[in-house]
Formats: sequence, C-alpha cells, structure tokens
Amino acid sequence: MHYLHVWLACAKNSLIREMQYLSNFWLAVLVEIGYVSATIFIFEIFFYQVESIGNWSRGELYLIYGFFRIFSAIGSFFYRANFNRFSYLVNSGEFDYLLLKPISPLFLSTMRITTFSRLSQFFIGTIITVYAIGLIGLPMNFFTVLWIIILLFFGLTTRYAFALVMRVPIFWFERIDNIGDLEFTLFSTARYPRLVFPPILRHLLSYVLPTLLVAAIPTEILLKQTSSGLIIGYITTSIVFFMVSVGLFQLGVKQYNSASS
Amino acid sequence: MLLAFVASLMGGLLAFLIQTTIGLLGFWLDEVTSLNDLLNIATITIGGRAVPVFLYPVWLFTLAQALPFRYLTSFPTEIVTNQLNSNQTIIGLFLQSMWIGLFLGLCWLLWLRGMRSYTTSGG
Repeated sequence: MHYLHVWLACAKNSLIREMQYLSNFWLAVLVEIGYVSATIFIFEIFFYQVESIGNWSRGELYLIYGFFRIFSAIGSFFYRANFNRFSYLVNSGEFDYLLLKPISPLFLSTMRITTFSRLSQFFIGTIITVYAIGLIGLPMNFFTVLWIIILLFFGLTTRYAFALVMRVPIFWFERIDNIGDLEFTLFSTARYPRLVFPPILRHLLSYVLPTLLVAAIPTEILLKQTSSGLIIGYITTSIVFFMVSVGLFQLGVKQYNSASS
Repeated sequence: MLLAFVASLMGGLLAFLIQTTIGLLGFWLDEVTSLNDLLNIATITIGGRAVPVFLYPVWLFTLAQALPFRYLTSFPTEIVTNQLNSNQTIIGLFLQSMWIGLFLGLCWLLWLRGMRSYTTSGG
C-alpha cells in the first residue's frame, strides 16, 4: 500500500510535467502512430507477396505485433524514462538521495517517472490485438483472456529484467550510453515469430538475451500446439531472469561509491 | 558500379539537403525533431528502406518513384544489385538530381527568409 501511495504521488508529478508541454505530448502521440503505420505497411507488403511467413499467417503475425506494442506501452509508461536517466543518476551522484529514502532504491530509481504520452501505444496495441484475434477467429472466453493476461505478465517481467540488466553495469563502468541503444535494437527483434530466425540465433534470443520471451513465445503458446516444456521454460526463464537482474542491481549498489560530496 | 557510386553520393547529398531543410524550419517552429521522425517513417515505408520497392503493388511503386524518399538509400542499392535496366537507371539519376536541385533551392530560400525573420532570444 505504501508503495502504491508513493507511486501515485510520483505519477501525478509526471503528469503535471507532461501537461506543461502539451504540443510535445501530441507530437509524441503522432510519431508513435507513424511508426506503427510503418510496421503495418511492411507487413502488408510482405503479405501482398506471400501467404505466410514461417508457418505464421497474417492474423498471427499481427497478434505478435499487438502484444509487442502493448508491452512497449506498459514498459514505456512505467519505467522507460527512468532507465534512460539511470546512468545519469549514478554518474551525477544523485543516486545518494535515493539510497537515503526509506523505500527500496530499486523501486525509486526505476519507477519514479511515468510517461503518459505512451499510453497511446497501449490503445493502438490493444486495437491491433483485438483485430488480430478477429482475423484468426480465436474463441474468446474468460479463460483465454485470463491466459493472455498471465502470459503478458511474465513477458513484462522479462522486459523489465532485461532493461535492468542492460543498465546495471553503470555501477562498474562509467559510460554505458550505447548499451541503451543496443537494448532498443535487440528489442526490435521481439516483434517477429521465432521461426524467422536461424536456429542458433533463435535459441540465443529465447534463453540468453530473451527478447523473444516478450511477445513471440507468448503468442506461440496461445496459438500453436506447444509442448508444456515451452510453457514451463517460458515462465522459469522469466522468473530466473528477473531474480538475476535484481541480484545484479543489489551487487551494484554495494559497489556504488558516491560521485559527489 | 561507377553509376552506383554516383547514385550513393547523390543519395547522401539529398539526405543532407532534406535534413537541412527540416533544420531550417527551426527558424519558425519550436521543435523539429518530430519532423525528423516523420522523414524516417517516410523512408522506411515509401522510400523502400525496409522492403524492396519491387515487392510493392504497381501503384505504390509508381508513387515511390515520384517521391524523393526512394532516392536516399533504396535507389543506389537497386543499382548495385542489378535490379534496374540502363533506361530506368538514367531516369532514376535524372529524378534524383531534380530532387537535389529542388531541395537546394528550398534550403537557400528558407535560409534567406529565416535570416530576415530571425529575432534573437535573450542576450
């Protein structure tokens, strides 16, 4: 409850700050819509030429993309801006103040800034997802929806852990700005089905740098006849990856020596 | 290969000029980074940066040939990969130079206008 209270207060601040630059807010929304249209354009060109990619139909591919958008939206809404600032916090010594607060520094350093303009992505993602489900003709009932939410939850956990792992090295190395770009590029692979990638890359992206866990594998579990091994592997990797990332963060905090004062 | 080299140089020049045009709009607009995003989106879609333009439906391919965005990266690539016959290459080079001339003129005009309307802030 305490954490929810703190988060709400921070979110309110973020909203006020964003509303001060209202035209920027709407431009950001417009650019989001532009990039989504670009991806849809690429899909449509491909499906103008072929019936399926891998063994994935048009609707199925859209479902992955819808999930991917929803993840990006939730991630951007809750923590993305914080991760962009993370290395600055450590380099400038502002991290000191966070350590002094009677609340988890992990929570404070990664959840403090909320980005409301990214909610537009969430709506776009939901529209694409619903459209894709309609195309596939997936029967919708309470359990399907519940199953989707559970799968999304673990995907999101992986997403967060991944972003954290990519930022934590700042405690040991002073400049890691490029890693942020690397994370972004790696995650652009998350919007395609697993079969698109050659086997070695596929395993690498499933279990070592698990970007495919985020959207491709949940969609596969939802749509295809998958072994229970994949489901268990999916959930386990997500949990293990999350624990590793938090462990690394705590190690990093021990290593941290203040920059100023 | 020589033609491909020329086309890439001109593609680079055209990219520079389009971005300069966007930058010069900063005389009148507060924020131009989102225009850069729109340029990026245009080159990805109609400019054939993500999917080869030959996979497009005919009407879209025609549109891509008419607009400047194809001439940044897609057109030089098409020459290198031998997708074009000599006629198409020459027409392409002509259209590319035409767009370069157009944006050069636009840059110059915007610069002159901008210098006249520029008022310093602060100082």
